[in-house]
Amino acid sequence: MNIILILIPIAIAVILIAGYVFFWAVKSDQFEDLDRQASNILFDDDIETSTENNKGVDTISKNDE
Amino acid sequence: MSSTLLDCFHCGEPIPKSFTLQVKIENVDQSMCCHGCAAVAETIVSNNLTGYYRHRTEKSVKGSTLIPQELLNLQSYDLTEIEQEFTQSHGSTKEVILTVENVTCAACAWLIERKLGTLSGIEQCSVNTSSARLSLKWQSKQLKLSDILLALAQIGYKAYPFKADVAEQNEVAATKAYLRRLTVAGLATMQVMMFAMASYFDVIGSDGDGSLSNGLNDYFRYISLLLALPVVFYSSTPFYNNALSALFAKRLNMDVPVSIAIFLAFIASAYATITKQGDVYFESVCMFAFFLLLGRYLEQITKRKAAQSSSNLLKLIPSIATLVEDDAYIQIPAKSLTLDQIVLVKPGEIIPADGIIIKGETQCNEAILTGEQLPVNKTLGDWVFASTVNHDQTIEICVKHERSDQLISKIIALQEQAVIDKPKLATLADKLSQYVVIGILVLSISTYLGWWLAGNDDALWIALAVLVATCPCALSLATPSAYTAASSQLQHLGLLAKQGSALDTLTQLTHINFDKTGTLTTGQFAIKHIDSMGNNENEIFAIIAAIESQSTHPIANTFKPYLDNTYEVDNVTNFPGGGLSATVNNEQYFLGHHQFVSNNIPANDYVLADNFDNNVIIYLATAKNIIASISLNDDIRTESEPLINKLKSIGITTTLLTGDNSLNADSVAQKLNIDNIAKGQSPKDKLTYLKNLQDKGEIVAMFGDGVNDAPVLSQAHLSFAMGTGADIAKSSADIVLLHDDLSKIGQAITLAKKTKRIIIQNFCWAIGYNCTALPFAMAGLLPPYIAAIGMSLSSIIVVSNSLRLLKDK
Repeated sequence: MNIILILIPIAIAVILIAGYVFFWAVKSDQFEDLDRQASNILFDDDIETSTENNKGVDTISKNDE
Repeated sequence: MSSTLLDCFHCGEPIPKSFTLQVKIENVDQSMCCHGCAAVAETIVSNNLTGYYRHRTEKSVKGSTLIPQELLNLQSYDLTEIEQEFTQSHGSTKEVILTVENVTCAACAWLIERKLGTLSGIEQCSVNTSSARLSLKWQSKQLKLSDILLALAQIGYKAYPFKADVAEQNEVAATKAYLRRLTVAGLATMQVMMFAMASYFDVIGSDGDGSLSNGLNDYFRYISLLLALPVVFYSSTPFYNNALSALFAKRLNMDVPVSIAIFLAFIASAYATITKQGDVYFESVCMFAFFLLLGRYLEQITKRKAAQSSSNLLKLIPSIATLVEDDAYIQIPAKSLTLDQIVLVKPGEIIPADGIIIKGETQCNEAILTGEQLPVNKTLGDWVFASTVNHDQTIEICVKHERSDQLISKIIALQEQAVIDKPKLATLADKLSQYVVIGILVLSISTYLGWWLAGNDDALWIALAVLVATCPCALSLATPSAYTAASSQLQHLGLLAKQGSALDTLTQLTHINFDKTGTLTTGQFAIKHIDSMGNNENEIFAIIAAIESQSTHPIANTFKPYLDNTYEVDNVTNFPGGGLSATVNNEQYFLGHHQFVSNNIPANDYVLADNFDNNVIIYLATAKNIIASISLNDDIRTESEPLINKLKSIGITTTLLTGDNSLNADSVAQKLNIDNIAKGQSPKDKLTYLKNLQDKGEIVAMFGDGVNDAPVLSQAHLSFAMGTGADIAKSSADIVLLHDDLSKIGQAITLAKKTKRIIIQNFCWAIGYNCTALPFAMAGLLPPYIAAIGMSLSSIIVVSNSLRLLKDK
């Protein structure tokens, strides 16, 4: 069972990374608008279908990032 | 095909007969109900944004075209001094956050972002649908803010800068902090729980006789200790802060035993780990902190949402003054006016400062200060007051008061004082938790003393088990979880509660005061009676509507629905304080009160119409004689009467507290069957009246909408403001009625009572569970993991019980 001695520190390291990523997400406002992003995927189609006749597309796709 | 539908494609309202405007959307002609909707729809089509119609989940808001005054308001946002108040500049790039009205779904956000994306000069725009905010970055050289606002208006959205509440900034930061603390506690709990499971099922074996070696047991304990460190010293700090500040104020709150439990359990477990004796409670500590933080986080989200929604209500409308200097007119922000400067105020504009009229005469609507909605005549040498509205004529005023001496500033000062004086009611939860806290502490200490005196070496461990077993986790969740659920239910009713405890106060009320104009009444004139003297009523209305279409008087709005474009109106002359004269279809008419009308026509024998209820009566006359009289009155809201009856049936005394001094106040009180009436009250009188009631021990609520209600709204135990009311009224109130619907108050009271019942049930359950576990813990028979599991189950039951509040829609 000595493997546990090594596995546990690795698990803790993974948790530290997860914690760090989460802190970063909170800081960069990822949890500010949870309703909006869920339906954003629906609108992506429109951007492709209307690319030819819309000049504003570039600005928008930049903003969506 | 869809053109046969009777409802407007854009806003879903019924289409008036004979209106046949259609807009081609995605190759189908769609019917529109008005020019406003059609204009918005056409803009959407011409910008290739019809995807909006495919994806929207709710109908749009009725489109409206901007009136010239609104356009002018938009442009005043561009004035440098005003813009600086709410924008941030980085070189030529400017940044602003606006609140957008009527953002209902993700499609709205998409539409706004796409439309603004077509403007050149926009660097970044993103809409947050949950807070209804738009954040913008743009190049100020290429684009003006008013252009952006205009583009939004074209697709049917009104955006405003707003006064971000100081509270809101704090709430946002606090929410993020709680989210971080919650995550840390969550991640650590999962890990510690994993190690604890090993010892629960005895796979390690306490004496090295299990399937794992003895060394592993210590290893697990040290790892658990390590993982519990951030939970105790980072995640749980809000509890310690609250507990300390309560102790400093010589009070006890739920956070006191929570802090003691977390701290003692941790220290004892750490001691046990290092000295290799006794039990460890790391998993209990972590889970305890996690559950509590979850409750606090949910409560925090509700608070933040309320703070955001209430700052969205506080629109920043620029207050501009037209300064007269050497015969030149300069637009400056009202707040930079100084004494003895001369200001020009056009009809329909808001008067920017307290002053004396030096040129012209007019009528002013002072409803915002006094509550009386009929305009007051103002002539040379009369005082006019900041924030009131100039109705009739262009006037010039000389500024006579510094900004801080203005009448409106005095009311605001009164309001600020009232906020400080506001009595605080202890909620049911506060009262109950005091006893519980004392009980827990006394029991733990006596358990320790008892076992110690009996000579037991494990006295500390048993006392600790008592503390953990009776840990007020479920108790701490009992109230916040119920308030959170109830606040979200209130929001469904269209009521914005700034604090959950408002619900508790709602069940304790004994007396409710109402403002009259704009609260119990609509604040708008409605036609009560017409004596058309044999003439066609519709024709009379059409003539009046035509004449009034040129007027800004509050009465004019009443006749708008009767406007008929076949009536041609000309030569409209306004006689301030008298009425209007005009030619309609080439015939001369006079419209106004009796004195004015009879002065302008040959003597006649028409007698004054009977005046019931102190109505306002206007007369219409041709050049020869009077042809109609119309009685108008401020309309009582239809929901007012059921509300008053409901309040009476549950034993609440009602008072009409109004600035109006006319007989109309009495007739409203009588019609609605209100118990007491105090009329002609200045803001200060209202405050005194309310304080007297409070001194008598009454729990008093106040309903209001105007600036003159703000001080008394702040002082009342509980206050309600109408959503259409003045900003300061809304920011003073505990609950805002977003849709002005008084009938929801009855439902809110029912909800508040139900919430109280749920809280009591939660307390009973939590205390009941603790009492059951207590004897076992005191006898030293409760293993720590059973205590921890019991605690979690108890918390889950409490939260589920609170969630029942969300069930009725």
